Amino acid sequence: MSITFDKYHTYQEIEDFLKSCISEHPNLCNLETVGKSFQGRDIWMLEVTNKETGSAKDKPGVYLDGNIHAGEVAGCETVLWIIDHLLNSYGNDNAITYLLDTQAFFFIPRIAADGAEYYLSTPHTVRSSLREWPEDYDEKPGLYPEDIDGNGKILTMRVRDPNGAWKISSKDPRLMIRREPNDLPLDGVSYYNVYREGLIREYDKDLPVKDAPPKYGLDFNRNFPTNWAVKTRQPGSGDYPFSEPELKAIADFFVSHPNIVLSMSYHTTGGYILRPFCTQRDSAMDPKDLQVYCTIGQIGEEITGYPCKSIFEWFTQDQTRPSVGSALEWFYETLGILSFATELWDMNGRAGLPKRPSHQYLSMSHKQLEEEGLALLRWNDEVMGGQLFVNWQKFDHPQLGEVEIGGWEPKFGRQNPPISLLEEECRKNGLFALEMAKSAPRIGIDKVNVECTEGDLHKIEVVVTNEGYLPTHGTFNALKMNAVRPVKVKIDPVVNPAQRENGQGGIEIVSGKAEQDLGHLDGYLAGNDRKKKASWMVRGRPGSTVNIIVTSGRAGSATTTIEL
Amino acid sequence: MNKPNFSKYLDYAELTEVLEQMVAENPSLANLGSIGKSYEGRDIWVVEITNSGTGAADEKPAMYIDGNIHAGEVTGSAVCLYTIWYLLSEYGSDPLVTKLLDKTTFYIIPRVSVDGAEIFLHTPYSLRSSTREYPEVDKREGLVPEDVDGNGLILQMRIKDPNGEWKISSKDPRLMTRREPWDEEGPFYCVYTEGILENSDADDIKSAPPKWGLDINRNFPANWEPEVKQYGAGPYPLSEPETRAIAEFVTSHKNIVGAMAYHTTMGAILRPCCTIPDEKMPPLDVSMYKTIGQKGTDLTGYPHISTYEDYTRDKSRALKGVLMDWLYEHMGILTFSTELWDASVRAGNKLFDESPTYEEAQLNLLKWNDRELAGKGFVDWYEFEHPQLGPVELGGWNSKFTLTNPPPQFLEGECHKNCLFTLYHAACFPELSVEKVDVTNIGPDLYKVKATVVNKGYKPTYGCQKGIEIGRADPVKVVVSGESIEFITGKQSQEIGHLEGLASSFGRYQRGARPERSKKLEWVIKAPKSTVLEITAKSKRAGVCVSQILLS
Repeated sequence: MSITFDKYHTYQEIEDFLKSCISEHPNLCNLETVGKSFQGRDIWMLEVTNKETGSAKDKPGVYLDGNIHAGEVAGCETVLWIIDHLLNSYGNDNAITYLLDTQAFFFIPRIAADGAEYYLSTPHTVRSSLREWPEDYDEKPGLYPEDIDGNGKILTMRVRDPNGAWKISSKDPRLMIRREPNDLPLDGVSYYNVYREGLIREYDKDLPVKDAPPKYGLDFNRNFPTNWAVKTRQPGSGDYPFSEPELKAIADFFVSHPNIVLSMSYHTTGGYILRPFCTQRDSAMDPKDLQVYCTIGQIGEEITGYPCKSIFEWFTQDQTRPSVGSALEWFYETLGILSFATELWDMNGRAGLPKRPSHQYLSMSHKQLEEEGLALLRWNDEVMGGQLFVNWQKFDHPQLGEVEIGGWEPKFGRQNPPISLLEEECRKNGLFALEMAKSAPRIGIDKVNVECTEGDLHKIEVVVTNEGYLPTHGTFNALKMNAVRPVKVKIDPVVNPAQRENGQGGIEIVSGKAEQDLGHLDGYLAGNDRKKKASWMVRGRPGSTVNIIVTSGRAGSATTTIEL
Repeated sequence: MNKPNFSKYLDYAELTEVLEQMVAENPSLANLGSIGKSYEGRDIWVVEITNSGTGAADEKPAMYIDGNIHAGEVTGSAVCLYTIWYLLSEYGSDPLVTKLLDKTTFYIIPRVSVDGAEIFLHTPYSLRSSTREYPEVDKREGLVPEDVDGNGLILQMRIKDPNGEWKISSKDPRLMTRREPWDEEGPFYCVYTEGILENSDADDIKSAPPKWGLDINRNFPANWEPEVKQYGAGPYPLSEPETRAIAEFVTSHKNIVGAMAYHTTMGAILRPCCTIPDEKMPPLDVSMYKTIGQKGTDLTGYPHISTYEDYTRDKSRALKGVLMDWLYEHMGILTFSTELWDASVRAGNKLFDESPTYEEAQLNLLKWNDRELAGKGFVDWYEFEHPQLGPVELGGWNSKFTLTNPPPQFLEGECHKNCLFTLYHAACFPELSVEKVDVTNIGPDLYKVKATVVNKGYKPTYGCQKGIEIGRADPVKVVVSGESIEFITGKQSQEIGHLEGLASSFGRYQRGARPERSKKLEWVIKAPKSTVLEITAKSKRAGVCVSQILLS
């Protein structure tokens, strides 16, 4: 079944596509559910590798997910695009064939299965889950979003108010800008209040309108255990880490797949390839990990145009209270996985606006903000035929009286690419994901020396090598966290002298442990320990076969058979 | 109701039967439920105790109690069981118990590590908590604990070795003492846990990693760190069915405002925090911990101590992921964790006293053993031919029911005094009251109504300062209801914030400001004469109080 990227796919369409993958490529795919969402939907996980060269668990693992935030559906599409690209290219493209032969990919296209369905099928949006939280949610007074004019979208309302905090830009009547400190309420100048399109509970016409707290306040990407904090410090974090069924499913998935060495999570929006740390400066990172992040990140920038930046340094509004409890922190800081999170869709960049760290927006002048707003509108007019901005229309609000409703197309304009630009977004980011995957460590058996010293006494030497860029432990943080099993080499079958006397096949070990621990091997990134040797003295009849089995935590495995 | 046998440690089947019986005999006071299943599929029982006649359990401030989260610390189960029995049997006769069950709720989980406790009680093995094998290893290599001579006990083995670290004490031949740095005169011994070697040989005796290495009391989210930094922590916080069940229970019972957790062994009342000094904790909470803790000391003889300040010698290795810290720092519940059974102190040793040597402290224990247990607590060394190690001597403390848990004859006393501490802690809970209700007729069918909402308790309505910090203390709500009433001024339903308790009254305040323990409210209501008005003050943590008044 072919999939096209001219739409945002529903839960059912995704399930149908994934099932078609396993029926059309049974030699390459396994489909599993890691668990059920709050409303009982399956959280699908597609495992892609060439099964003939080994099972997914015995290979270096690359994990990709999308759509942990319900509205960030372009993330899901990017994951689907990568799956489709890999399966179609296997056997045709040398690099992809090599990747699928030597590595395993684990894809979870849509984590927020319930929320995304709600996002795609109603005008509403939600951060992650459709579980009400905090639970003792009474319908609090205030404004709640609603599509009051029935156009299928929840936009913005502007309402005249002599005390309003907003005004219309003199340069473009569509643009609302902040009223300045020196703007007096003189005749001729109109001020406005700006609200989300919606209705107001317990409306009191004498008092200002406030937003009601959201009914669905959970943020899945604050529910991870590393640096997790209670809701007063980190809104949306849940009652405890991994409290949500979707995330406990992912937690258990990672515990049962310790071979994952690289990961990419897709989000929107911004046009960044983000990396750790979330709460600390780069100076706190192991410089060797920082170097890897920057090197691979640079490749990402070349392919996607998106710079690779630290979340703390570039994507944090208040550095005294950074967001905590995200997947990236758990993946990198605790599990030691080389993890990226890409914020897809860069409207600002397309409009020619420069990138700046999030905290700098607070100190921008009104004039600068106005210029940026105008640039976006101009881009929309010139490149998108004006489609992404809904012009202000008068509407008679049941409570506020005459309002105007308008604003940016929130879902497939601001938060996600419009359909016409979706495939391009998926493609360039998908291609980077594959380049990232190529950096994985990969162990192999470089050579085996067998020497018959005397009679049936033999010396066996096995040289194990790491052919990949990354060391076998992936990141240096993983070493610190003791998160990755070392490389081990084992010879087999081992028998005792009596069994050997009885003519049973196999070798008797005279010196050396049957299974030897080689520790970790460097990659071609740095260091000289890219090869290590293990040796044994054994007794065995000439012609006996010996299996050599090399295993590792995250660098895959290798086997060979020799004859004495 | 028959009194259960408190000089016996009950296994799962016996514990279940006793709980079922006690609950069946007290239907208006007790309910039995399960918070979830253990790793091996056993129910983890919770008993809910309150007088259902005075209100629903979840509408009263509640005490959470658990025991035996560490598999071998079975005394905790006994204390919980005793507390259940005491509450149920003394209701109606003891004034404190009666008041407590009328106004508060108790949630008691006698045994958390239901699987591990079975192993501890029925086999020679000891284990920390869960029977889930952890950490995962392909193959265990080294010495594993085993009852090599089949006498039902896992003791110690001593083997002569010129490099050995131990020596026989000159003061008591049972005692192994530490070899001194300048001692050249042997004989020296290596001392190991009684066991057998797996996948390794006698040339190099090392302990194998434990089969049951999980410590579920390091598996809670507060300050959780992975295995590399905190032994036994598990793959992620609340990864274990037992701990997740506790978390689900506590988060869904928002009326819990105090907690007691039982462990052994030391004879001390521990309190938060495990990783933070007192000076960094909210002062009100420290003050409450000390005041309530002192009552505990008066009743039990056990000192009350901060885990970080007084229990943690190496501050760089403070305990992480502990239930007590989670209950306090993430749930905002004032929690005590009692290490029951003060064997060492009974033997004449002092807690936190570095001056006696290891040898002196151990000798005191042996003397206590000889005096109180007729020496049975220590198995004297005897020769044994070890299948792998050759001639060894086996011997040592038979510690399960001597050092780790009290010998049965001491159990009931341990239970009683700790049960009393729980009652006095529960007596500190916030308690809402609607008082000084006054109605004045100010016009035809028009009434001015006044009422004062008071917190009569020691704890504030928010439980403790941490409860506010973490956002789990819902404000007090006041609702006025009645047939055909119209509010001219004042609201039908309003949140009045929080009310302090007695605990806030004894600090130092600038300019003599008094903490607000009450709040006066006023309404002007239009209603027909003789309407009955109900004024309700309620919050999850401080309970419900309803006052009725006739409008006339």
